[in-house]
Amino acid sequence: MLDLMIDYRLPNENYSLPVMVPQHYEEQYNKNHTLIEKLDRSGNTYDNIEMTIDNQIALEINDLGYTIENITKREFNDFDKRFDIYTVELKNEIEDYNLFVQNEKIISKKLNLYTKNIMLEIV
Amino acid sequence: MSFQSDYYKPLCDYLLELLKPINSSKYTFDQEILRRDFVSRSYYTALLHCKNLVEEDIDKNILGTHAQVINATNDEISIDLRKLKSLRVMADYDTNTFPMPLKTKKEIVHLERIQAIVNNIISKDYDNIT
Repeated sequence: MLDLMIDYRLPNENYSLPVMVPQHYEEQYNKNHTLIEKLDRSGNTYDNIEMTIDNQIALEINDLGYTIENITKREFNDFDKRFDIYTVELKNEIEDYNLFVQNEKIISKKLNLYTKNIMLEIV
Repeated sequence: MSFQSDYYKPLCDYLLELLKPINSSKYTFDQEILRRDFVSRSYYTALLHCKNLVEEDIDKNILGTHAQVINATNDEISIDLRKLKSLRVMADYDTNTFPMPLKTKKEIVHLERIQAIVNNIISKDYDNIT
């Protein structure tokens, strides 16, 4: 008769699988750390967490493969509307701004930033 | 090359070249003067290009040329003009350091981005801006 060693322990803190967090999310600025902690704890997807607009912008930029150094926000009152302007400083050097400004447009359209009176500056 | 074809673009390109570190010994005054001039002239280059294209669509009897031109353009161009305008207003009126220093990068990256926005706008014709 074989002496089987069967481990009937239920998964607990000593038995948990590692949480996979992409490296570039860990490098995001401090606000996003809160988001990551929420994801780690709950296993939620990004879709069911209410995200601030700067978090949404950060995730879109990360999806393009860029790493964020800093995000600042300022206001601009034009003749008919008030705008929030988010300036995103990348860690990456941008080789060709003529191509890169298209990324601002792509993200702005995807997140409907125009209709929310939000401007995006990526440098 | 006439003013109507490129507006202040040659001046902007010249200023951006001057602002490269390699050329810093060619002038003795503060770089910020060049940066402010670059941003201001860049906005007007984009605005004048659009104004010339939508001239027939706007009412010359109503004041506020900037607003009329911006409103006559499509969402994408309008927001680009407003982006440039927001920087132009800071460049011309705000006496704090301009542009706001970045965390790690040099200020010139702001200007390269602005140049790219202007290049994009002035490459478009009436059908692509309205």
